Amino acid sequence: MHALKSVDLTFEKGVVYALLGPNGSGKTTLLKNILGLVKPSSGDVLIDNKTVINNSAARNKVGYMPQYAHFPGNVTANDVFKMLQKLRGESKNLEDLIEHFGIQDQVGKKISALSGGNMQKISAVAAFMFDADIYILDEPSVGLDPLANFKLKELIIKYRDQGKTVIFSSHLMGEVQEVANEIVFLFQGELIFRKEPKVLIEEEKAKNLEQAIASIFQRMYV
Amino acid sequence: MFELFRLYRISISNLLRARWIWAYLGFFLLVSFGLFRYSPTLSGAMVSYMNVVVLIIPLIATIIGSMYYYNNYDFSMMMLTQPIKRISVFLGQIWALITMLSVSFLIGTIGGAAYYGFDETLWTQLILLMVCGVFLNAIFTSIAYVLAVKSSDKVRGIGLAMFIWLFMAVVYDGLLLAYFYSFGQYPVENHAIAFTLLNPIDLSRVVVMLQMDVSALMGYTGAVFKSFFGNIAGLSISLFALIFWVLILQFFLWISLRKKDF
Repeated sequence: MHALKSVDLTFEKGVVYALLGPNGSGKTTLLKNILGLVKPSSGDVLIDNKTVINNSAARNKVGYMPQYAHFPGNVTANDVFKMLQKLRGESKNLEDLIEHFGIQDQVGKKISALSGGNMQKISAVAAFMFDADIYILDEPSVGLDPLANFKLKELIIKYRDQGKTVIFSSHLMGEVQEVANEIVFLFQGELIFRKEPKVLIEEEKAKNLEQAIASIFQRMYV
Repeated sequence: MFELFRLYRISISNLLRARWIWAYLGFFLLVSFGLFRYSPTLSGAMVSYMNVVVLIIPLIATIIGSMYYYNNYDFSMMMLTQPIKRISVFLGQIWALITMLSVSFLIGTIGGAAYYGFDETLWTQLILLMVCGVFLNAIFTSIAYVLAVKSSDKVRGIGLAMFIWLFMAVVYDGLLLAYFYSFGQYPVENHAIAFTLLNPIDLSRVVVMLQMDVSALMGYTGAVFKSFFGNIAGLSISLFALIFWVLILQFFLWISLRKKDF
């Protein structure tokens, strides 16, 4: 069983990529490949020409926000940030990020006492608090309220403009159309296409991205 | 190495907050005090305490080791997405756990036995038992971790680890007995030594027992054991066997982690 089959991709700097595809198409696996959490059975994953396989230093260049936040429950968010800084060095923008998401009153609470949405915000702060080259966000908007979602989109665009690579997976086409420069479409573990949202909408003669992707999905399942 | 030490410290401070670790210390304090205070003979107290140690320590290390891995999965996942080696994340946890379990056991034992006061025989035997207890902690925590890393299914991971404990603590002796019963006509004493070296629980039991007078009750096998384990060379070999167990398990952990997809 392979979650991904011969996927060959290059991600450029200063571009936001949206990873799309139906459930189980291998989006999370691809993101975990880049992080070195899942190892490819053949082939390699390179960041700046250096492999990520068995190379923990490669993750210095990556900020990651998982689909479900993984934090120990018995500590506060502040403890988590402190712990991460001990491991990766001082964060220059931690305070700004906490303010950006408006969670000043949440970071002192125990993780287990936080709501799902607040946990996602903490997770977003943890992903962006270190200076990385690539930011990987696995369905970041799940559980976020509209304001937090808006703030996250602002952040994605800001980092892209600074020349960072942002790769995110999502099922919300409005969001993808707004922030993504390129769509990477996976189906059953295979790379089907990579295109700009605008081009895709034109090709499908659709009103918006949601319609375009819906008609692609329909064709695939016929 | 530095990275490993940092993670070790994080895990230690995490464990110090856990209430069960204090209960574990209290358990040994209570048992060792009770036995050394109320047993009519010192050797009787020693044998009883040894039995508690060689059975309870591996059992608790197995259960706590598995639970700690699964309960800390979120924390481990968070660490794994950071620029830290996998092996550091898990070795930091495992050695913090071994340290805390061993320190609780040592404080409990010394605290309880201190009531008895200074007695050379008691403390020689007790120190040997404490060394074995620390090794049993390290070995069974590591076994639990290796199996937990290998199985994402919690029930399977804990079940397998418990089976290993049951096998080494109970079934192994039964199989040995059947073996010696069947081949009683042959000189199997040397096999007995080899089999004992392979099972850390049996090994700890034999090493401590041979320091007591009770070994005289073990017949010819006891005499053969005494001539092997009873001197410095035999003790050193036993110690190496225990060290080998610990090292080989760290190696297995490293191999399993290298292959694992999180």
